[in-house]
Amino acid sequence: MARRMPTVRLTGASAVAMTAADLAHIDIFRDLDRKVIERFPGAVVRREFEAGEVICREGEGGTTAFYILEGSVQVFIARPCGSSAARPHGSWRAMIGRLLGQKSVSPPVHAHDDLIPIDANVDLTWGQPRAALGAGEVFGEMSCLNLAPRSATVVAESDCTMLEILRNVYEHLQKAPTFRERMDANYRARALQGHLRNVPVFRDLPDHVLKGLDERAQLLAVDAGSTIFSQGDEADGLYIIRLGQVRVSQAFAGGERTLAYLTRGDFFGETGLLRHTKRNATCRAVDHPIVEGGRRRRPGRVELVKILAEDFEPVMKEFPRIRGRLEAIVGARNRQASEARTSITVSAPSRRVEDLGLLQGQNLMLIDLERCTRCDQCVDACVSAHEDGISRLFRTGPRYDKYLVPSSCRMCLDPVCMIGCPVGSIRRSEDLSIIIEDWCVGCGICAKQCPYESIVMHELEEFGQEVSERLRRVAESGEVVAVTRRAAVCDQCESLPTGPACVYACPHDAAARVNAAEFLSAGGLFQTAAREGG
Amino acid sequence: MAAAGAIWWYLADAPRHLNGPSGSTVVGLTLGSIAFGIMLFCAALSVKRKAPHWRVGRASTWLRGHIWLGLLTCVLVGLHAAFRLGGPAAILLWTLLGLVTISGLLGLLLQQFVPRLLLHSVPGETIAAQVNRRLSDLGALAEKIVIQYAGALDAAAPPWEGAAVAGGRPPAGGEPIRRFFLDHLRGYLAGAASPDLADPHRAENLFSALRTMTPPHAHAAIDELAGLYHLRRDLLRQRRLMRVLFLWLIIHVPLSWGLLILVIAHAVAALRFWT
Repeated sequence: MARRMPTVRLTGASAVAMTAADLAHIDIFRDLDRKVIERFPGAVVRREFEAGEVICREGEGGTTAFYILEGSVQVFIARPCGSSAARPHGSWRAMIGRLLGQKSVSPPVHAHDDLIPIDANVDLTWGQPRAALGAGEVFGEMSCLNLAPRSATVVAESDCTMLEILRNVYEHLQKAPTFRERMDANYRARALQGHLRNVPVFRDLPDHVLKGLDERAQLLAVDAGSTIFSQGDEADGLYIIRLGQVRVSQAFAGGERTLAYLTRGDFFGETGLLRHTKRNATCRAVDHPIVEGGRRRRPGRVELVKILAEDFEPVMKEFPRIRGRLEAIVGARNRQASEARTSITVSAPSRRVEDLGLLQGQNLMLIDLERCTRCDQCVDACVSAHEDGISRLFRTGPRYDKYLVPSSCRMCLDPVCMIGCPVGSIRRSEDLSIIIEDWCVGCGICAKQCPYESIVMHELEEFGQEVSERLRRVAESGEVVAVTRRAAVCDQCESLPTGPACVYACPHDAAARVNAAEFLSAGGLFQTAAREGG
Repeated sequence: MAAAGAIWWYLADAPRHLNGPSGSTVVGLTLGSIAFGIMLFCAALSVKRKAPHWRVGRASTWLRGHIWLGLLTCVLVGLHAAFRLGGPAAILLWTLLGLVTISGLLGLLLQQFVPRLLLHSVPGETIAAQVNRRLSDLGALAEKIVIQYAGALDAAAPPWEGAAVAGGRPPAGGEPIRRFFLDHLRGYLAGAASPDLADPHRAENLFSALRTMTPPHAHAAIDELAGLYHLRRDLLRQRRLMRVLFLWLIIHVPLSWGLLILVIAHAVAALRFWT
């Protein structure tokens, strides 16, 4: 019996379902089997948008890709610098607060050309978080293939005609040679140079050298879940992520540990090339975390750019001064890896320890409930240490022996919160703490992903205003609007010399930040839990 | 050590005064001034609590200083006053100092025991600010469980209406659960006096009896109701213990400020009439 396919249709006031005959006139559909279109009626629709009309908004869910037939669009993300600050900047209170240790959440220093990856064949930069797309270009691939939230707001710059495409057709389209070639050419023309420039070693290369690399670079696609290379493999190239996410992990005695989740525009595989050693980590393609209605679905795709070792080596020889920059990056990554190595020291943890995920905690917050007088000074300190007035600590959570494990970032061994961020705004710092960059679009994926409810979504000041109206003005005025909410996570108060404010403010020495494995094994608490039948 | 040093200085100085030591001697005045300074430091703890992140020392260091220096104050004040009660104003100061010290020690004592009690006797502890809200939610949660299992609570409606059972037939054991909820649990969860459920042993018997009256598949619903019953007990116990834990502050803080104001008045008056 033939397998029944889901009948998903795109509808809406302006949607005109496209038939195989209609699509035959559009060049990218030329190679596509007519049966595919006939099998999925309504999976490709034509939509008309007036100038200024919002096509999609950053952070919202999305399941379709758009192909621009006519017209052009503005793609941008909000740049909410300071919009999360709950207290006025520059006031005498804020000044005194900063002198006495109040932490400012003003954005970190970003270079003008720091890349903000989005779901289109262009990338935005910190200095210019907007770009234009015209006829023949696609946006929304990650949403379509991997169900990632929309990574940017797209507004029609002029009257536009678009094709909105569902995954079941888009997957076939990707395999069609004409479409594939067109997309690869667009990528090479619009984004690859930017991605190459994002690799520190290539940043200062003359244009002609970079162009040579660009032409020789291989464009690859791998299914999510598959291994790109394994620890111990020969290093044969450097990779840049074009679409999707990659998990970098290292195996140690006693376990495997995630070093990073990398996203569009990030690169990996440089250490082996630089040091002429074998791969020191395993890299796997990662699927987006969201599962359709709880059902399993086909794995998504991760697209990569590979710079072969034989192309990389001459560049290193010709420009020896840039080797130093790459050495610095490799050094930082190695430091992170060695930080990680210290934590895998525990054998045979009890089931309760595993259930609570305690061993994930490289910097676990614990509150000794025999000492804690429930005065909430830790929470107050967290609130007052951050200028946005948002607590990253909630004095609630599971208990383990006499300790409360409150909701606060644990700096997990495997920071699954980093999977799926549509704009790559969540990252791990060198000291392993989780950082959320200011270009967070507020989609909430990281908060949903965190198994320990340690990431909070909070509303920004602008929330409640008529966002759509303001978005309509974007195309005319060039105004960049702020997102309405964003994620906040414990940053370990890394900029405070006193360390985490919550620990500093505890009058009874009941709060502590510990490496869970070391602390719990030193205290013999695994055995305690085992005795309790945990 | 500081107290021993102060006593040694006081004893060494005492024979030099014909009328004996007093607050108006250099030693007395110095010790009084130090005691006053310590009182100001102790009062600063409440200012520090308003800005817990300020880089002026760890809160635990401040608290230890507050306790030990606070105790030292009693000794210094005693030496300053040459262990004499003095007039009515001085008696008032002594009384306040005594009450502040005793209430502080009581607080210290409570902080050693009550957190342990909370840890061991309130497994369902929640954030203090949420206790009342959670208590008020319990009734609705229990009602939802009963309706889901046994049907509508309204006497006019068929008892199994709305129940999650196939075929519209009354669920086995639904009626005893409904009856138990209406007769006992609803009132208890709403805060009404319920002699049966107020006593944990009698409550346990009631739940056991309910289990015997119902088929095994109803026991999950009964367990959930019993869970809510225990949670209410936990939350009430937590509320009581939290009150005990912070009760001393109601005495300690206002009296401390009162003492500080009177001490300032005492110092101004004493210096004015010193000559």
